[in-house]
Amino acid sequence: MTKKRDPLLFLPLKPQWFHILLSLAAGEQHGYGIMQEVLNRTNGKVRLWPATLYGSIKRLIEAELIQESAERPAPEFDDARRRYYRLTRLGTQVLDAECERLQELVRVIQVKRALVTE
Amino acid sequence: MNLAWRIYRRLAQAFPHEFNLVYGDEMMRAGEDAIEQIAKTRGSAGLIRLIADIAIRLPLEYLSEMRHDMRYASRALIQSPGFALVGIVSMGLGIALTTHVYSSNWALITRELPAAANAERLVMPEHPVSYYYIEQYRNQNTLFAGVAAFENGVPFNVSLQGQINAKP
Repeated sequence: MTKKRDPLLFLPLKPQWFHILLSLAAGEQHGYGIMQEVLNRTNGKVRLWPATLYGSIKRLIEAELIQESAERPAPEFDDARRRYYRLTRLGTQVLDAECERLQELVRVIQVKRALVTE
Repeated sequence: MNLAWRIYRRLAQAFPHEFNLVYGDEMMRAGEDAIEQIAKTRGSAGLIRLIADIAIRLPLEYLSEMRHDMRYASRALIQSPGFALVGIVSMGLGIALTTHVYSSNWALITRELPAAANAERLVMPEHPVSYYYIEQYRNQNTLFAGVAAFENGVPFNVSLQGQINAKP
């Protein structure tokens, strides 16, 4: 039986962890797919380099935030040579908590900027 | 780009065995897939960044594996304290004994011998000289601070049943 862990203990998330979790929010994805998704989502500003990506995936699995997925996409999209990953329940909770934290941060920034520009 | 790929591949192969079993093939493939795009969009700087990334991660992964091994060993030792005690005492004795032997040998080898305090100032004649010259050298105290002589191989004769053999 696994212990219930508090998602807030993981915050603030490392940027690469956040990007990986965010990429998996839409569903299962393989490592190279995560790399490409992050690159496209950030208009090429953020690149997860291969060693950092797989090192982070390994640590995310150890932290039980993601897991290897047995489900494969439709055969025409499936790359049989690759492992697919998906969020765990804890991973989803951690991602939610991090998004809320960042939204709060953005709200504070907006208020501060409004004060400065007044 | 070929050089970058060769370096990347070598570094990827050098990752810990446990890591490579699970992620080795994929990391290699991801690098192979990404390297062309990186070369096109970021040029040499991108390739250097790719190599730097994997070179930095390599020792980190070894440290991570070592941490896992240490954690596993600690758990195993805690579960069997008797075995842990015997292991710790054996290792302690082994290390103490080795350290003692090496430190005493080291002291013997490196200590300064009284006659060789200024070894670079010691001289020895190339060929044997007679005792007369030794006395001359000793008397001319402007030449040497001190003179010593030794004799090796004192010749003597052995007679066995009337047959004489000279021995050095």
